[in-house]
Amino acid sequence: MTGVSFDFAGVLTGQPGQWLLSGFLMTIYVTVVGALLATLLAVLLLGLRIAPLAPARGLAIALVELFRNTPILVQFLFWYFAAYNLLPRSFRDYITAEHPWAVLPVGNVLLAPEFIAAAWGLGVFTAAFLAEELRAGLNAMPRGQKEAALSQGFGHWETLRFVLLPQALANSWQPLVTQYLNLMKLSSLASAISLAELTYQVRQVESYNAHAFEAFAVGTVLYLLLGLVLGQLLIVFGPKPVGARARRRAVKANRSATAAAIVGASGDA
Amino acid sequence: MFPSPVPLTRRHLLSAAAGLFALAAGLAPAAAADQLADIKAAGTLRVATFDSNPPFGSIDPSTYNLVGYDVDFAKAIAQALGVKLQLVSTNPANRIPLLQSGKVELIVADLTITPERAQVLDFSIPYFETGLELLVPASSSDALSSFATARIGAVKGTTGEQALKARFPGSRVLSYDDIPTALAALRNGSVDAIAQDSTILAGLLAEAPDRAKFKILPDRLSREIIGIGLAKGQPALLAKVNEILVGLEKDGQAKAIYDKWFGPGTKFASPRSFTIGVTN
Repeated sequence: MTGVSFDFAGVLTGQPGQWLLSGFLMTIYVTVVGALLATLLAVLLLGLRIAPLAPARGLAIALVELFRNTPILVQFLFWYFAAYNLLPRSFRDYITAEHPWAVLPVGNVLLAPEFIAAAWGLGVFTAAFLAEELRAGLNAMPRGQKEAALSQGFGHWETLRFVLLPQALANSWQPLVTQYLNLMKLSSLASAISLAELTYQVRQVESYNAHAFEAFAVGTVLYLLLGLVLGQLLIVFGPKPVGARARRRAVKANRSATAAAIVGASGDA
Repeated sequence: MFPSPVPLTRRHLLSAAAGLFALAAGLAPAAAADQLADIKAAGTLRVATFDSNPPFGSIDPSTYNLVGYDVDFAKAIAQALGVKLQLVSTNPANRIPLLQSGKVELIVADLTITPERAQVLDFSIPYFETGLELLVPASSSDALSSFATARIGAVKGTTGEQALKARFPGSRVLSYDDIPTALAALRNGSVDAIAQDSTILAGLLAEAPDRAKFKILPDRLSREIIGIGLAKGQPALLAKVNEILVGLEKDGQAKAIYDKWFGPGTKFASPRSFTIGVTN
């Protein structure tokens, strides 16, 4: 032994434990709100991107390129320090006032400039990637799907909603899950705009009692757990590729038939 | 022939204790004597000051002399005593051991008066005061109490957050990576105030292009009271140092020294919130 000892109780109990729990929950809150925002904005972006109007397509292309080619840290700083400043003073005063109804356990304030800027920043950034993944899913589809829908009298947004999107979602679900997991991990950068999420609290524990190793280890494990659970939930409850269930059933039937045949064959020997 | 082992008797123990006592007394040679008389007899006052802690004590890059707020006070005290000044440069960790080992008679080195330190040394009356202050928009209230439930910016890794929470449990503290980032949050109204040490805030405000939009609240969140440290059991020296400090306040020298290092136009400009000899 080199005399190194670890004191995990020093970061999991008392005030540090409270901070880590609060930070963990804040990471979950901002991930959920950010993911919902990202999904809505991605559908909007995709609708513009495949619209028959050239200016609408141009706008979508410009937004996607802007948000996916600039660092999210810079975007956070922009939303929090620059864009927030452009809001009317009375609105900003309302946001920074105390709102007991917007406080979730453990003491995490959602109606605050930090949370709004972080969730919005994560939503916009991730929407650019989601829209492109969805477009890849659309492109994998036969052109006839869209033509058939339009010829049936569906409008542009209805075609997207009822015909194209369900298939595109199923086609591109795996890379979409990756983007949602990225969103969760990128929320750690919001500690730079003082969002009291897990990374912020880990650093606070570190400067409070100098338990650097323990604090960062616990933080890492919590992120890993959250990522694994979130990934599994998205896979289990997400859309399955078109025809996947039928294919799986066929594979299963085929396998058991083969196994039966092998058993039968070895039984004969 | 070897001496046979002698069993330890009470006499041996007593003489050993006496020897240890003499040794201890020798390590603290000035403890018993009247240091004020010794200083006058020697014609030299030895003072511990910082050599790398501006504006309290640092080395002037052009003259290589020690300069600073504390250095000027040490000079003024030596002058009032009518003796030569010998400065012993030190750092925060070494200043008290220097005094305890009898190498200096006074510590004039930004030494905060605390109950723990008062157990091992005596303090003069305060000659400086600092503490946590709030920087707020110029249009805000001047009352500290109106920020009790405010959103207050602090800097990660500093003690400001804990001090803030102790004083105002209802406040919402937001920590930023550094002080300019905290100022940016104050500028756009994300926080109502930022909390920092008064000298740091003064330096920050001096450099800000939009300094007219902000002000530092007159009342402090926490107070750090700075005194001169001297060995315990020296009533004559303590009384003399206190008398000199009050004298420096009366004849304006103390204020002149303050203005030289913390007055308007200096890098650490900050209003003087205390008067030596007046407890508030």
